Amino acid sequence: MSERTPPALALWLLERCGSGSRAESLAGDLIEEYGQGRSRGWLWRQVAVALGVAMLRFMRTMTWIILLRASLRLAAETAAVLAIVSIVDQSRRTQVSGDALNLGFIVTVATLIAVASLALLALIGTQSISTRRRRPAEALAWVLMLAFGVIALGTGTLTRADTTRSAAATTGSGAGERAECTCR
Amino acid sequence: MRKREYLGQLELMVLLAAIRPAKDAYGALISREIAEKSGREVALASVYAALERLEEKGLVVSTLGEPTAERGGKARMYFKPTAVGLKAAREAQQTLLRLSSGLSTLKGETTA
Repeated sequence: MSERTPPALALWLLERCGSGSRAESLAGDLIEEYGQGRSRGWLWRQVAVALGVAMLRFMRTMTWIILLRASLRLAAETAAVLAIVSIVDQSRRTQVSGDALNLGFIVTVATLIAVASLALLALIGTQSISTRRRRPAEALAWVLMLAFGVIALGTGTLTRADTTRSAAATTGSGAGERAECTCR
Repeated sequence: MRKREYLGQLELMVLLAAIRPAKDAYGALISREIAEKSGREVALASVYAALERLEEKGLVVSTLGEPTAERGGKARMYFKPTAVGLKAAREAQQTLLRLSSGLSTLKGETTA
Protein backbone atom coordinates (compact mmCIF):
# COMPACT_ATOMS: atom_id res chain seq x y z
CA MET A 1 0.00 0.00 0.00
CA SER A 2 1.32 3.42 -0.88
CA GLU A 3 1.76 6.26 1.61
CA ARG A 4 1.06 8.92 -1.01
CA THR A 5 -2.07 10.85 -0.34
CA PRO A 6 -3.52 13.48 -2.65
CA PRO A 7 -3.41 17.17 -1.64
CA ALA A 8 -6.18 18.14 0.78
CA LEU A 9 -7.44 20.85 -1.58
CA ALA A 10 -7.85 18.30 -4.40
CA LEU A 11 -9.87 16.04 -2.09
CA TRP A 12 -11.96 18.97 -0.89
CA LEU A 13 -12.71 19.97 -4.49
CA LEU A 14 -13.55 16.37 -5.40
CA GLU A 15 -16.11 16.26 -2.60
CA ARG A 16 -17.79 19.27 -4.22
CA CYS A 17 -18.09 17.45 -7.55
CA GLY A 18 -21.18 15.61 -6.41
CA SER A 19 -22.54 13.18 -3.91
CA GLY A 20 -23.56 9.57 -4.16
CA SER A 21 -21.78 6.33 -4.93
CA ARG A 22 -20.57 7.39 -8.39
CA ALA A 23 -18.84 10.53 -7.09
CA GLU A 24 -17.38 8.48 -4.23
CA SER A 25 -16.09 5.86 -6.65
CA LEU A 26 -14.52 8.55 -8.86
CA ALA A 27 -12.75 10.09 -5.85
CA GLY A 28 -11.63 6.62 -4.73
CA ASP A 29 -10.23 5.83 -8.19
CA LEU A 30 -8.28 9.09 -8.22
CA ILE A 31 -6.88 8.49 -4.72
CA GLU A 32 -5.91 4.94 -5.70
CA GLU A 33 -4.29 5.95 -9.00
CA TYR A 34 -2.38 8.78 -7.31
CA GLY A 35 -1.23 6.38 -4.62
CA GLN A 36 0.09 4.06 -7.32
CA GLY A 37 2.41 6.71 -8.70
CA ARG A 38 0.45 9.12 -10.90
CA SER A 39 1.82 12.65 -10.95
CA ARG A 40 0.40 15.71 -9.23
CA GLY A 41 -0.21 17.28 -12.63
CA TRP A 42 -2.29 14.27 -13.66
CA LEU A 43 -4.32 14.51 -10.45
CA TRP A 44 -5.02 18.23 -10.88
CA ARG A 45 -6.05 17.69 -14.52
CA GLN A 46 -8.47 14.99 -13.37
CA VAL A 47 -9.87 17.24 -10.63
CA ALA A 48 -10.30 20.10 -13.14
CA VAL A 49 -12.21 17.84 -15.57
CA ALA A 50 -14.31 16.47 -12.70
CA LEU A 51 -15.24 20.02 -11.68
CA GLY A 52 -16.08 20.90 -15.29
CA VAL A 53 -18.28 17.81 -15.71
CA ALA A 54 -20.03 18.53 -12.38
CA MET A 55 -20.63 22.14 -13.41
CA LEU A 56 -22.09 21.11 -16.77
CA ARG A 57 -24.38 18.62 -15.06
CA PHE A 58 -25.48 21.26 -12.56
CA MET A 59 -26.23 23.77 -15.34
CA ARG A 60 -28.15 21.17 -17.34
CA THR A 61 -30.23 20.26 -14.29
CA MET A 62 -30.80 23.83 -13.23
CA THR A 63 -31.81 25.14 -16.68
CA TRP A 64 -35.17 23.39 -16.68
CA ILE A 65 -35.78 24.21 -13.01
CA ILE A 66 -35.13 27.91 -13.69
CA LEU A 67 -37.44 27.83 -16.74
CA LEU A 68 -40.13 25.96 -14.79
CA ARG A 69 -39.93 28.38 -11.86
CA ALA A 70 -40.06 31.41 -14.18
CA SER A 71 -43.14 29.98 -15.98
CA LEU A 72 -44.90 29.17 -12.69
CA ARG A 73 -44.11 32.62 -11.30
CA LEU A 74 -45.41 34.27 -14.47
CA ALA A 75 -48.60 32.17 -14.39
CA ALA A 76 -49.21 32.94 -10.68
CA GLU A 77 -48.60 36.66 -11.06
CA THR A 78 -50.64 37.00 -14.27
CA ALA A 79 -53.60 35.10 -12.79
CA ALA A 80 -53.45 37.12 -9.55
CA VAL A 81 -53.29 40.48 -11.36
CA LEU A 82 -56.13 39.48 -13.74
CA ALA A 83 -58.25 38.39 -10.77
CA ILE A 84 -57.66 41.72 -8.99
CA VAL A 85 -58.39 43.70 -12.17
CA SER A 86 -61.60 41.70 -12.72
CA ILE A 87 -62.77 42.34 -9.15
CA VAL A 88 -61.98 46.07 -9.32
CA ASP A 89 -63.64 46.36 -12.72
CA GLN A 90 -66.75 44.52 -11.56
CA SER A 91 -67.07 46.63 -8.40
CA ARG A 92 -66.75 49.81 -10.47
CA ARG A 93 -69.38 48.56 -12.90
CA THR A 94 -71.67 47.65 -10.01
CA GLN A 95 -71.29 51.13 -8.53
CA VAL A 96 -71.74 53.04 -11.82
CA SER A 97 -74.44 51.13 -13.64
CA GLY A 98 -75.81 48.94 -10.89
CA ASP A 99 -74.92 45.65 -12.65
CA ALA A 100 -75.31 42.66 -10.36
CA LEU A 101 -72.66 39.94 -9.99
CA ASN A 102 -73.13 37.41 -12.75
CA LEU A 103 -72.07 33.76 -12.95
CA GLY A 104 -69.47 34.45 -15.64
CA PHE A 105 -67.64 36.88 -13.38
CA ILE A 106 -67.66 34.46 -10.43
CA VAL A 107 -66.38 31.56 -12.59
CA THR A 108 -63.64 33.76 -14.10
CA VAL A 109 -62.41 35.00 -10.72
CA ALA A 110 -62.60 31.52 -9.18
CA THR A 111 -60.60 30.05 -12.09
CA LEU A 112 -57.99 32.79 -11.90
CA ILE A 113 -57.60 32.36 -8.14
CA ALA A 114 -57.33 28.58 -8.56
CA VAL A 115 -54.65 28.97 -11.27
CA ALA A 116 -52.72 31.47 -9.14
CA SER A 117 -52.91 29.21 -6.07
CA LEU A 118 -51.84 26.08 -7.96
CA ALA A 119 -48.96 27.88 -9.64
CA LEU A 120 -47.89 29.30 -6.28
CA LEU A 121 -48.04 25.87 -4.63
CA ALA A 122 -46.00 24.34 -7.46
CA LEU A 123 -43.53 27.21 -7.14
CA ILE A 124 -43.12 26.49 -3.43
CA GLY A 125 -42.72 22.80 -4.31
CA THR A 126 -39.86 23.50 -6.70
CA GLN A 127 -38.13 25.52 -3.96
CA SER A 128 -36.90 22.27 -2.44
CA ILE A 129 -35.35 21.24 -5.78
CA SER A 130 -33.72 24.58 -6.27
CA THR A 131 -31.63 24.88 -3.13
CA ARG A 132 -30.00 28.19 -3.93
CA ARG A 133 -30.78 31.07 -1.61
CA ARG A 134 -32.37 34.25 -2.86
CA ARG A 135 -29.75 36.94 -3.23
CA PRO A 136 -30.37 40.46 -1.80
CA ALA A 137 -30.42 41.94 -5.33
CA GLU A 138 -33.10 39.48 -6.38
CA ALA A 139 -35.16 40.25 -3.26
CA LEU A 140 -34.89 43.98 -4.00
CA ALA A 141 -36.00 43.41 -7.60
CA TRP A 142 -39.01 41.45 -6.26
CA VAL A 143 -40.01 44.27 -3.90
CA LEU A 144 -39.64 46.86 -6.67
CA MET A 145 -41.73 44.74 -9.06
CA LEU A 146 -44.44 44.32 -6.43
CA ALA A 147 -44.44 48.05 -5.63
CA PHE A 148 -44.63 48.86 -9.34
CA GLY A 149 -47.54 46.45 -9.78
CA VAL A 150 -49.49 47.91 -6.85
CA ILE A 151 -48.87 51.51 -7.94
CA ALA A 152 -49.72 50.77 -11.59
CA LEU A 153 -52.90 48.94 -10.65
CA GLY A 154 -53.96 51.64 -8.19
CA THR A 155 -53.22 54.49 -10.59
CA GLY A 156 -55.00 52.70 -13.42
CA THR A 157 -58.07 52.09 -11.31
CA LEU A 158 -58.19 55.69 -10.03
CA THR A 159 -57.71 57.10 -13.55
CA ARG A 160 -60.43 54.90 -14.94
CA ALA A 161 -62.81 55.80 -12.13
CA ASP A 162 -62.07 59.50 -12.65
CA THR A 163 -62.62 59.21 -16.42
CA THR A 164 -65.92 57.40 -15.86
CA ARG A 165 -67.03 60.05 -13.36
CA SER A 166 -66.11 62.88 -15.77
CA ALA A 167 -67.94 61.15 -18.62
CA ALA A 168 -71.01 60.71 -16.42
CA ALA A 169 -70.86 64.39 -15.38
CA THR A 170 -70.53 65.51 -19.03
CA THR A 171 -73.45 63.33 -20.03
CA GLY A 172 -75.46 64.75 -17.14
CA SER A 173 -74.76 68.43 -18.01
CA GLY A 174 -75.46 67.75 -21.70
CA ALA A 175 -78.84 66.32 -20.75
CA GLY A 176 -79.54 69.43 -18.62
CA GLU A 177 -78.69 71.74 -21.53
CA ARG A 178 -80.91 69.73 -23.84
CA ALA A 179 -83.76 69.99 -21.32
CA GLU A 180 -83.24 73.75 -21.11
CA CYS A 181 -83.40 74.08 -24.90
CA THR A 182 -86.64 72.14 -25.01
CA CYS A 183 -88.16 74.50 -22.42
CA ARG A 184 -87.31 77.56 -24.51
CA MET B 1 -34.19 4.57 -33.53
CA ARG B 2 -35.56 6.74 -30.75
CA LYS B 3 -34.01 10.05 -29.81
CA ARG B 4 -30.70 9.94 -27.86
CA GLU B 5 -30.40 6.19 -28.07
CA TYR B 6 -27.42 6.29 -30.37
CA LEU B 7 -23.97 5.74 -28.94
CA GLY B 8 -21.45 8.55 -29.03
CA GLN B 9 -17.80 7.80 -29.74
CA LEU B 10 -16.74 8.03 -26.10
CA GLU B 11 -19.74 5.98 -24.98
CA LEU B 12 -18.89 3.25 -27.49
CA MET B 13 -15.26 3.24 -26.39
CA VAL B 14 -16.27 3.04 -22.73
CA LEU B 15 -18.79 0.28 -23.46
CA LEU B 16 -16.22 -1.76 -25.38
CA ALA B 17 -13.65 -1.22 -22.63
CA ALA B 18 -16.22 -2.34 -20.04
CA ILE B 19 -16.87 -5.52 -22.04
CA ARG B 20 -13.16 -6.36 -22.43
CA PRO B 21 -11.99 -7.25 -18.88
CA ALA B 22 -12.59 -10.80 -17.63
CA LYS B 23 -13.70 -9.51 -14.23
CA ASP B 24 -15.99 -6.57 -13.53
CA ALA B 25 -14.69 -3.28 -14.86
CA TYR B 26 -14.35 -0.08 -12.88
CA GLY B 27 -13.66 3.53 -13.86
CA ALA B 28 -9.86 3.59 -13.64
CA LEU B 29 -9.54 0.22 -15.38
CA ILE B 30 -11.79 1.36 -18.24
CA SER B 31 -9.81 4.59 -18.57
CA ARG B 32 -6.56 2.59 -18.71
CA GLU B 33 -8.00 0.20 -21.33
CA ILE B 34 -8.99 3.11 -23.54
CA ALA B 35 -5.57 4.74 -23.15
CA GLU B 36 -3.78 1.48 -24.01
CA LYS B 37 -5.92 0.52 -26.99
CA SER B 38 -6.56 3.93 -28.51
CA GLY B 39 -3.59 5.96 -27.31
CA ARG B 40 -6.04 8.54 -26.10
CA GLU B 41 -6.02 9.65 -22.49
CA VAL B 42 -9.55 10.07 -21.23
CA ALA B 43 -10.23 11.82 -17.92
CA LEU B 44 -11.81 9.64 -15.27
CA ALA B 45 -14.66 12.10 -14.77
CA SER B 46 -15.51 11.82 -18.49
CA VAL B 47 -15.45 8.02 -18.22
CA TYR B 48 -17.82 8.16 -15.24
CA ALA B 49 -20.10 10.60 -17.07
CA ALA B 50 -20.20 8.23 -20.07
CA LEU B 51 -20.88 5.27 -17.76
CA GLU B 52 -23.75 7.19 -16.17
CA ARG B 53 -25.29 7.77 -19.61
CA LEU B 54 -24.78 4.11 -20.55
CA GLU B 55 -26.47 3.04 -17.34
CA GLU B 56 -29.39 5.38 -18.03
CA LYS B 57 -29.75 3.72 -21.44
CA GLY B 58 -29.70 0.29 -19.80
CA LEU B 59 -26.48 -0.77 -21.51
CA VAL B 60 -24.49 -1.35 -18.31
CA VAL B 61 -25.32 -2.12 -14.70
CA SER B 62 -23.33 -1.05 -11.69
CA THR B 63 -22.63 -2.66 -8.34
CA LEU B 64 -20.90 -1.14 -5.36
CA GLY B 65 -17.90 -2.86 -3.81
CA GLU B 66 -16.43 -2.58 -0.34
CA PRO B 67 -14.57 0.56 0.77
CA THR B 68 -10.81 0.05 1.08
CA ALA B 69 -8.09 1.99 2.92
CA GLU B 70 -5.96 2.51 -0.20
CA ARG B 71 -8.92 4.30 -1.78
CA GLY B 72 -9.30 6.62 1.21
CA GLY B 73 -12.18 4.57 2.57
CA LYS B 74 -14.21 4.98 -0.61
CA ALA B 75 -16.02 2.12 -2.29
CA ARG B 76 -15.33 1.05 -5.84
CA MET B 77 -18.13 0.89 -8.36
CA TYR B 78 -18.10 -2.02 -10.80
CA PHE B 79 -19.75 -1.93 -14.20
CA LYS B 80 -21.00 -4.85 -16.24
CA PRO B 81 -22.53 -4.74 -19.74
CA THR B 82 -26.10 -5.92 -20.03
CA ALA B 83 -27.45 -8.10 -22.85
CA VAL B 84 -28.79 -4.92 -24.46
CA GLY B 85 -25.35 -3.34 -24.08
CA LEU B 86 -23.65 -6.28 -25.78
CA LYS B 87 -26.20 -6.12 -28.61
CA ALA B 88 -25.67 -2.36 -29.01
CA ALA B 89 -21.88 -2.82 -29.14
CA ARG B 90 -22.23 -5.60 -31.74
CA GLU B 91 -24.55 -3.47 -33.85
CA ALA B 92 -22.19 -0.49 -33.65
CA GLN B 93 -19.27 -2.68 -34.68
CA GLN B 94 -21.19 -4.10 -37.65
CA THR B 95 -22.34 -0.64 -38.72
CA LEU B 96 -18.75 0.65 -38.65
CA LEU B 97 -17.57 -2.36 -40.65
CA ARG B 98 -20.32 -1.92 -43.24
CA LEU B 99 -19.64 1.79 -43.53
CA SER B 100 -15.89 1.39 -43.86
CA SER B 101 -15.88 -1.59 -46.24
CA GLY B 102 -14.71 -0.73 -49.73
CA LEU B 103 -13.45 2.72 -48.83
CA SER B 104 -10.27 2.91 -50.83
CA THR B 105 -9.16 6.16 -49.15
CA LEU B 106 -8.92 4.32 -45.85
CA LYS B 107 -6.49 1.85 -47.41
CA GLY B 108 -4.19 4.69 -48.45
CA GLU B 109 -5.20 4.52 -52.10
CA THR B 110 -5.82 7.72 -53.99
CA THR B 111 -9.14 8.45 -55.60
CA ALA B 112 -9.30 10.10 -58.98
